[in-house]
Amino acid sequence: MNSILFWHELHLGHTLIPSSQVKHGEFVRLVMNYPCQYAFMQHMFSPCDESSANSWCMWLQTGADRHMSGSREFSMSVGSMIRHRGLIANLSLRENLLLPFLYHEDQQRLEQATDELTNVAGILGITTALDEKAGERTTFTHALISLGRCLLIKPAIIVAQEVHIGMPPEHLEQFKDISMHALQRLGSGLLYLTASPDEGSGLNYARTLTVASNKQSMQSGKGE
Amino acid sequence: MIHQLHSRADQLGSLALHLFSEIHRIFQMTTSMMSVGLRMSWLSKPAVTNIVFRQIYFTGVQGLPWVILVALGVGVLAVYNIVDFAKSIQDMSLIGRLISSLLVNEVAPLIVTILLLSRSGVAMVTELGTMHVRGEDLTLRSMGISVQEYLLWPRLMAFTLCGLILTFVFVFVSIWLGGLLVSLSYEINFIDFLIEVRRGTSFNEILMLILKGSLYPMLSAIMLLNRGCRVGREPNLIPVHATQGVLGALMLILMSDAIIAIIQGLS
Repeated sequence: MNSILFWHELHLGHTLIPSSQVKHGEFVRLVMNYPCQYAFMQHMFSPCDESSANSWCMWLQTGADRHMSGSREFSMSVGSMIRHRGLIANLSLRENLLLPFLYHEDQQRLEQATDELTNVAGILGITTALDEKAGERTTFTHALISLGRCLLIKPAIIVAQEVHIGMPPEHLEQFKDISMHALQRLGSGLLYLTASPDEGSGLNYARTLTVASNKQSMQSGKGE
Repeated sequence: MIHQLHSRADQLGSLALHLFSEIHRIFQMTTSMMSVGLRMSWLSKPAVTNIVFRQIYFTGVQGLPWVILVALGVGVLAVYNIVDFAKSIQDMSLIGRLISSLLVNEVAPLIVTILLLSRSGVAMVTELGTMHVRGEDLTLRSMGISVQEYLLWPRLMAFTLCGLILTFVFVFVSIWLGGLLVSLSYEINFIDFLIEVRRGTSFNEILMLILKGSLYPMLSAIMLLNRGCRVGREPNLIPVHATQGVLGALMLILMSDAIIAIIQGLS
């Protein structure tokens, strides 16, 4: 069933992030500086209070169902890839990949994810390292684990930051190949948070929203 | 002169406001932790139970040899001095009463909490602080994982539970092994010693041991968790918060001990 990610207009000091939406299978780019990206994500992952008129909300509409941000259903339907924030250091890579399933009390999905783990680890090229403790890892491993988690969750929408920034060229090419393959396989919608319209991800965006810091936001019809 | 007075009043006012906001913050954190913990839904989440087991292992099991070692030393010293004092005034009934009111009620909960603070307390603030510096709180929230349930509650529960169990271990080891060692080299029969200890210990004192043995580690854990969550994104603040957390927890348990003593005195 097609899902759409909606959010309300968000005021961050003098900056205004316009209300918008991302449909299943659609790629939308949101251009804004890093502090705004992190503030947007902080709001996005916080529980939303529908009863309060002033509360900012993001929700996923799937048919007649509305899953508000912060809810279990939202977390298991919206994947995230945050730059250098893909790992919990004191868990193994296997536990990191399975963490949302181990937390959200869904035995059926946990078993399914455990079955698919070997295949996903093979795609990511981390089969032999699955039981290693995460500890301090490169930006590349953080990005791979975030992507692996998305492959296991199979989200309707992925919210991604520029996870590739800071990768050495050989890892960058490898990551681009893996992520393109993964996006095609999943068919999910993508909300891409970037600081520059020339981010060079090579993705074909349906829309680009540019957030300026003087309360004016622009929207263009075509991304690239 | 007036300007100086105003400046002092300003300082006092900001200090009071800071104190109240800190207390409010700690209260909010504690209630949110308690509400997710006492709901018991964490029991069916393998991710959380795994952390609980790890924390219990780290705080309780790995801390056990240290507690036994210190209990042995304190037990031998306390029993030797108490027996010596009782013999010098020829009143053996004092042995039970002194061991119960000094070793069981005062020394055991305090020493166990200090041991936990010095071993696991610093580690707790450092671990939480490092997680915040790395932005792991955002990673957890992005997966819909409650920081209170996944990070804070397991640590609070493990610290409190292990504190209580280790306090009882401390009491048993210090009385039994302390008494046994002293009876080998001193003119007191071990069985007579145990009978005196049993005679001098009341049910209220056992209840007080349970209260102190769980309250002190719990208050310490709350103080440490609050400090760990306040590190923010500055790695160089981790040792500062670790020191402040341990010292704050020490002050808190000493104040609680004084308040309990005053309440006991009044009743």
